[in-house]
Amino acid sequence: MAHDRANRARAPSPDGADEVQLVARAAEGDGAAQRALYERYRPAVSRVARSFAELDPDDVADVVQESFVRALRNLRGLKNQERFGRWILAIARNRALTLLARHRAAHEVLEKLKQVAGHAEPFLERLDLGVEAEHELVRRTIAELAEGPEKETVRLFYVEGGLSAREIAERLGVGKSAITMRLERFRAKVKMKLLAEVAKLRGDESN
Amino acid sequence: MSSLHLTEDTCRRLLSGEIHPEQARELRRHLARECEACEAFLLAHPDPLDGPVDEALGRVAKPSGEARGDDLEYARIERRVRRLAPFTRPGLWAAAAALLLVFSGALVFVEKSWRAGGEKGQALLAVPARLRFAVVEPGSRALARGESGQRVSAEASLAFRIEVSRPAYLVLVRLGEGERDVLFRAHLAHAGEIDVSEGGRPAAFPLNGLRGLQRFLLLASAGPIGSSDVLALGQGVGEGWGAGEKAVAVDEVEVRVE
Repeated sequence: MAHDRANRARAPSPDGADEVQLVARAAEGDGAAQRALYERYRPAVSRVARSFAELDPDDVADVVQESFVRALRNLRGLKNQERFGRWILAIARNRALTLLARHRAAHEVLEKLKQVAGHAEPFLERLDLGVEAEHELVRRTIAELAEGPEKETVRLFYVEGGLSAREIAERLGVGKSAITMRLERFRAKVKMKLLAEVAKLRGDESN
Repeated sequence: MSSLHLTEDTCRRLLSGEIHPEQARELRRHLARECEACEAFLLAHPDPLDGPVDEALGRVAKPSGEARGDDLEYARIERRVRRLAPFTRPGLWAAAAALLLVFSGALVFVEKSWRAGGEKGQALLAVPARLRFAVVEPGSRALARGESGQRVSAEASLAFRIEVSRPAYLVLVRLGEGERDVLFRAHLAHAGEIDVSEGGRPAAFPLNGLRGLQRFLLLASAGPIGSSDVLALGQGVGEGWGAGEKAVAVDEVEVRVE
């Protein structure tokens, strides 16, 4: 099952081209390739935006539109074309946080984003544990969560996948910011495990 | 053990591979204990891991039909992406450039007019500039000299050429339908011409999705032109405005999209 899902994520695009070819064609202005990238990554981009319960449907639509406009306009600058997916998701998260910061008037979040924005791609190029390993890491992190509201929220959003964070807040009768925080905390746990794996690779490099 | 807690510097060195292997091993042991301080750090700090983590999380979920998007949404995206699209046929630009060159010779007149009409101090900072365009018809090599005020098809694109008499900072802005788009920014280090380009390649501006009067304004100044200068557009167009270092000259063309 896990293998199937991992393979699905790297399945050929709707027009049959592989990822790198598709991105290369899109960068040259091929409209069909750009549309194919949109079809392929729209669900994941939307998911990033929908994980912030404070963002309303209009905000989510804004994140989706802005992310694709920025990504497609700047495709020529993407050095590693097979990293398009994680690149556009990073763009989407930045945009979502920008909107969130407007809601919260938390400008320091934006400042942090600006600090890392210029370095994102070189770092991303060096991060590749493999699809299988990353998928297993996420699955393990979910399994290790204690039974309770956080795990239920994670299950509804990341496993079932049909509800937005805002809808989950309504269903569980919990405040929107609480749901956002639960999902962000879970992401932080995944990040920590990912960093531990990277640390393992770095530690092994001298052996 | 507090020295092992994640910091921006530790993350940077870990991800870039600059970290010492022994420190990497210690960090791995530390993170395996699910340190709450490190979790709080990761929670509060956007970082380069965000893309990979969201990509991995996205693979867990069942496909959601609701999130697939639709033609209407993509049309909006496409319209904005193609606002300034590089020419796909290099020969077309050569033809456009040749066509635009036909119109040389009017800049001296523009400069004289400006100096006569503006205040003395501002006139020297606002750089006389001229904006010209050609209409690029779709699906053919047909090109036509653009004349301000003309009617054009929504299927056409516009190619712009800018001419200045002194080094200048330049901004090309579209005003229309209540929208205000900055299409192009450049700094020309010497007097002469520059073609509007995208990614180093000559570019045309597609009109698809636009309707009605579209105004294209060229701003030129000896000093950098900021967002506030662009936002000030709307009053006194065609005459220049600003004071001191911010004096900006404006040239304008307009088309009616049908």
